[in-house]
Amino acid sequence: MQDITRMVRETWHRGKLGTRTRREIRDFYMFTSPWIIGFMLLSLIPLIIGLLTSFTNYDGLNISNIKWLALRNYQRAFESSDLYTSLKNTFVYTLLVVPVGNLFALILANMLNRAMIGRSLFRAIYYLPSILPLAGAIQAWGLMFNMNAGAVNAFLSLFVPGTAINWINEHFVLMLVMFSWWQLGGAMVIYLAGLQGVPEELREAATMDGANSVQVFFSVVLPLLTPVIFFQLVLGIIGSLQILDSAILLYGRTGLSGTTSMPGDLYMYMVYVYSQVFDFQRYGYGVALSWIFFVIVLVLTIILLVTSRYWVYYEVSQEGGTVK
Amino acid sequence: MNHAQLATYPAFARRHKVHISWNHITLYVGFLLLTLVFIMPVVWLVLTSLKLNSEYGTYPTMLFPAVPQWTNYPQALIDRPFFKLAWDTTQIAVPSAILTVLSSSLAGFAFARMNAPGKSVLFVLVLSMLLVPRMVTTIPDFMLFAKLRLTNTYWPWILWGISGSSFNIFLFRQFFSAVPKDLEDAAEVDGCNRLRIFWQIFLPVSGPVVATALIFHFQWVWGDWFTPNILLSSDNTTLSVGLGTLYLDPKGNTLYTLYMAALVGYLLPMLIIFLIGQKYIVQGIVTTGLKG
Repeated sequence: MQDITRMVRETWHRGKLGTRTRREIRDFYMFTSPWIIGFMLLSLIPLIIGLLTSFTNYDGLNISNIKWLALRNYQRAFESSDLYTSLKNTFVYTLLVVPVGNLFALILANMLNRAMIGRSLFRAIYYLPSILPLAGAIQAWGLMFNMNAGAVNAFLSLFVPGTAINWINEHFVLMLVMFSWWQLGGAMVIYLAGLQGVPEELREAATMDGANSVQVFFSVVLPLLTPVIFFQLVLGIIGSLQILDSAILLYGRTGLSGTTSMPGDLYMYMVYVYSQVFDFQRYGYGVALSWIFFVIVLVLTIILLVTSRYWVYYEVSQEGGTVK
Repeated sequence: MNHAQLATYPAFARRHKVHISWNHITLYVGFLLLTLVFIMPVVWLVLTSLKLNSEYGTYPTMLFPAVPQWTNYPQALIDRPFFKLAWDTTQIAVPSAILTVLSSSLAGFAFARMNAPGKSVLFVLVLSMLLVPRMVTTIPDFMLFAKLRLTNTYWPWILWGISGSSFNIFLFRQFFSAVPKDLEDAAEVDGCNRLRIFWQIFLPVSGPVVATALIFHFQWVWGDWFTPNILLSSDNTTLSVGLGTLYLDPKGNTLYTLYMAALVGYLLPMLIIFLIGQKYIVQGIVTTGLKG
């Protein structure tokens, strides 16, 4: 903030701007205007409308019946057991998906970074599941674990005849976790790109100093990868906490409208929000729920940013000082 | 450079004789098992799509159909409005991908290459939008679109497309920051304005990034269920929503194997696009320096 006010003061107090600078400023705002206008209309104003809605009983239809509830929606949210159940499910999911999934992806990337025959084929195969469009990929996953028609129960029946585990109903969160592990190829490719950025000289120098491959990995490669890992963790946590489509589609829904038929104890947080708003038309309450979630995400991100100072290694500081 | 050093270079390493040991064999067995795990859901989907509906979910589970029902595919894709839905989805996904990449690359270029008061605040806003959960803006957006009578049209995707995406703005900004200054100076001396510099120099050199961003956005729209589900009615919706209700017999029972054949048809275009674009995608991920 400070440098802006300083910049504005300096440029304006200089009396006249060079035509070059003036044109640059004009061009800057011209180039960013689609984003700025879109940001105002589709992000900033909706954020404000949403926040205001969260203090009302708005049902999506009648503005005339609208009543100011102050903080009652928030109070009700914290009194509802669905909030805690869905938060618990979502955190368990995220904890299993992000750290464990990234660890798998990193190990896989590291193993596929060495020279070997068929390397690019294996890379492509492990990458493929992550590029499948979500709504279809989750159906394929559901079919694999289907109680009667699934390959998994058929396979287990070879050892224990008559295995009929209702995977989706009894191990719902685990199914979603494993679905996301199935799609870890996206993270793997990013780690592969990061690994290719590790200078060969550094590895060689460490090997000459007598480090074995495990030591090279932990004291040379891993520190250089920490910025990539950090990036993956932040976006992974934000993404995983918002799990919605795959949970609804895996459980199945009833009717043409896509009403969620899921019992409350299987709710993910966003499924809870979705069903409140779009199944029961409780807009005010649903938006309040989404703001509680927003605050949780912000707190988690700030914790990650603060702790990153102690474990993320930056070789060169970024120019401009804008990227953190 | 001696021979030992040469051998570590990728181009030469390939010719270097691979020493086969037990370690290698276990490694390959591991990779092959993993391959099986990774492709199994898709293989199983294809196998199921070739069964008779009466063969679906029998006990014991049949691995293969008694007779592969190839006619499931024309029944699923041609006898029902599969291609109509696919065309509707394309009409949403293609313009929205092109618009979002254009808008994001313009903004990314401005953030990377120009100076103006307010720039750093705006860039912090771009980055902080990455932290805002989708639901927090989507519910009010939905209320807004409903008031403007834009639900049941493709306008929301056009508008979201024009406003770009934080993630893509960030990617383009990272990529354009690394382009040498000389390129721009030479063009400026020749009297090119910034829009031409962007269009004729910066956009062409960012080919892999553009391709990656286009493909990922297209894939996202193609696979998105939530947005079309809340914004569109069942007669003009996308494949991801529409497929769920297309394969019912008159009594309302799901024709599972036809549905699975349709799912194969739904996944296939994406697979083809990715196989064609694979080279650019890997390049795009490497060159944008996703490492932050």
